[in-house]
Amino acid sequence: MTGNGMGVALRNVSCVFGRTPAVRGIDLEVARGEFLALVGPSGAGKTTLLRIIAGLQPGYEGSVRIGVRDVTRVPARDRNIGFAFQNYALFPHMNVAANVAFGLTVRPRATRPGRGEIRDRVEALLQLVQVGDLAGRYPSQLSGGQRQRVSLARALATEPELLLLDEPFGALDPLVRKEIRAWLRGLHNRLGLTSILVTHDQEEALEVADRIAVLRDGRIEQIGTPAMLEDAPASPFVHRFLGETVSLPGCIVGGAIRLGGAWEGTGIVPPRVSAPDGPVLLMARPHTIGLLPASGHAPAAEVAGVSRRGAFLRYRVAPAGYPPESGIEIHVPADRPSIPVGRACRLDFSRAHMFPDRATSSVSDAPGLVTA
Amino acid sequence: MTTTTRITPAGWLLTAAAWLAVALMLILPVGVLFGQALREGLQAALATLSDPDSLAAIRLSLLVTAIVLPVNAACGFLAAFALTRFDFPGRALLLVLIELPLSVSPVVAGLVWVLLFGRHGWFGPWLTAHGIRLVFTLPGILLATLFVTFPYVTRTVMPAMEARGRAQEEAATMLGAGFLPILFRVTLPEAGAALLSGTLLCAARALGEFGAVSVASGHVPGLTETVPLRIQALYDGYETTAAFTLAALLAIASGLLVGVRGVMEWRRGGTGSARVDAT
Repeated sequence: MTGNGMGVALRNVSCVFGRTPAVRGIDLEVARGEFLALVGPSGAGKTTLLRIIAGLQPGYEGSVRIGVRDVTRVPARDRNIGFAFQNYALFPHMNVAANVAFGLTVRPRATRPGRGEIRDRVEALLQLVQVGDLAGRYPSQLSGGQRQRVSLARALATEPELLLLDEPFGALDPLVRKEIRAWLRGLHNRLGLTSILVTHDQEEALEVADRIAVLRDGRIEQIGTPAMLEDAPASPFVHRFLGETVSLPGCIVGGAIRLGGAWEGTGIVPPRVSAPDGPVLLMARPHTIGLLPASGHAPAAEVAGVSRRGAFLRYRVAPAGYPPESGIEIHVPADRPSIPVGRACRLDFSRAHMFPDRATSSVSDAPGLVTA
Repeated sequence: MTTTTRITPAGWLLTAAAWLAVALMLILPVGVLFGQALREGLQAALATLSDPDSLAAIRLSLLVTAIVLPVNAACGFLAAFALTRFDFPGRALLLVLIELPLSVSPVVAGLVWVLLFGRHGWFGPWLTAHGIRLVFTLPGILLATLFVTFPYVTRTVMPAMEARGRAQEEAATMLGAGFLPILFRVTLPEAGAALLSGTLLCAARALGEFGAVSVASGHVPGLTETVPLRIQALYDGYETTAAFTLAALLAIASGLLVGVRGVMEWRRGGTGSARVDAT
C-alpha cells in the first residue's frame, strides 16, 4: 500500500479506429478506493477507454498508470486487473470452481499456490459472492445473476487492485439487477477495491458510483459526484443524458428570460441561475417544475391533460391556445391537490438550468443537439 | 415429447418429398449395393476380402487416413484460430484459398500434383536428382488426400470459434494466462466438439477420395491402390461381388463416421465439449 492516493491515472489518452477517433485526449484520475462510472451513449468511447485501461485495446496513445506503476507498455496479462465482461465470458467447459481457480492455476509453478490452498481460496471466494453451493455446476446450469457472481469471483481470485466492469448488469432482469448492483457496491467497500464501471444506464451510475464521468464523442463532457452532475450539469447533453428532460428555447434580454416559440410571452417564475444575454435553452426535470395559479396579464400555460403514474400525477401543460402535443410534461407528487384540466397556470422554473443555445447563436461549434 | 409447431399440409408435402428424394438417392443405392455384395451369400462376400490386393488397399486407406487426420486436425485448427482471432493482411484471400479444394475438381488437383512433382513436372528433375519420388507413391497419395480434405476442419471449427467471440480468451488474458495456456486450456477445449466433428468429416472424405488419388497414385495394385481405386479395378475386372463387398465395407465405414458425428451434434445442443472439473 503505497500512499492512499492514486488508483488509476490516464494522461492524454487517445485511440483511433481507422480514421474515426474513439477516444480523444482523455485525462482521468481515479482515487484509490473510489468507484467511478463511465457513462455515455453507445459510441461515446466508454468501453474503448475501459479496454485501454485493461490493456486489451492495442494502439492507443498517452499513458496509463495503475497505483504507482506506469502500465502503458505492460501487456494485459501482467496488469493484475480484475475484469468483469458484459456477457460474463465464463469458460463453458469448466465448472464453477475451475473457472474461479483459473487465474491461480495458470500461474507459473514458482508463484502458484498449492492445490489445497487454491481449493480453500476458491471456496472462500464462492462464499464471498454467495454461491458457495454451486462449485460443481457448469456455467450453462446457472442463472444470469449467478453467472455474474461467478465471473466476479473469478476476477477477484488473483487479488487485483483494480476492478473493471463492462456493462456487468446489462443482461440481467431489472429486479436482479438492482439487487446485484447494491451487493456489488457493498463488496467494493468491504474489499477496498478501486472500481471502474461502464454503463449506458445513467440511473445505475447515479446509484452505485462515487463519481461519474459522462463521455461524449470520445471526450469527457463532465466528471463529478452524482449530486454535482444533478445540481450543475455542464451542458444540455449531460442534462439530457442524466434523465428525463424538459427543454424550452428562450432568450436572455437585459438579464431577464423570455421564452420563445409557442411559449412566447408566457409568464414563468425564472430560474435562480443566470446566464449572459443571448439565446438559451431552459432545461429542467419534469419533477422540478412547479405548477402555480396563474397571475397577472401575461399569457398563461394551460393544463391540457393529466394521468396518474405511481406516486406522481403527470400533467401535460401547453401554452394557452396550443394543442397538448406542443406542451411539456410536469410530474407532481400525487398527494398534492390536483389541478383540473383547462385551468390556467404559471410555470415555476426556479430550479431549472440554463445553457447558452449554441445551435441558434453560432453554427460553427454547434455539436448538434441531441433530443431526449 | 412436445411439438410446438403444427405441421401444415404443405409441410407434409415437403417432408414427404424430402424423404422420397432421400429414399431414391441414398437408401435405394445403398440397398442395391448391399444386395449385390451379398448376392452369393455372406461367406462368398467375406471370402473376396481375403484377396491380398484388397487387404493391401484397406491397409493403405487406413494408413493414409491415419496420417492425414492428425495433420489436418492440427493445421485446420490453427488456420481457424488465426483466421478468427487475428486480423492480418490477406485474411480474406486466405479464406478463399482454404475453400479452393471444395470447388476444384479433385482430378484437377491430382493433375496439378503430377505436373508439379511428376518426373516431367516443374520440380521433377530436381526431385529425381535427389532420389525423391512423390508421384505414384505413398507421399503422393498423402499430398493429394491432404489437399482435398483440408477445408473440412477449418470450415467446421471457424463458425464455432467465431460464434464464441474473443471474450473468453480476453478473460483468460486478464487472469494472467499467456498464449499457450489460453490455446490449450480455453480455445482448444471450447472448439473441441467442432474440431472432432470436422475431423470425422475429414476422415470420411479421406477414406472415400477417388479423383485426386487416382491421378496421383498410378494405380499400382498392392502398392498405391486405396480402397476406392481397388473397387474400380475389381469392377473393371468383372469381379462384381468383390467390388461390391469392398464398396459396402467403405459405405459402412463412412456411415459410421457420419453417424457418430450426427449423434455428437445432436447431443451437443446443450453444454458443448469435453468438461474439466475443479482442481
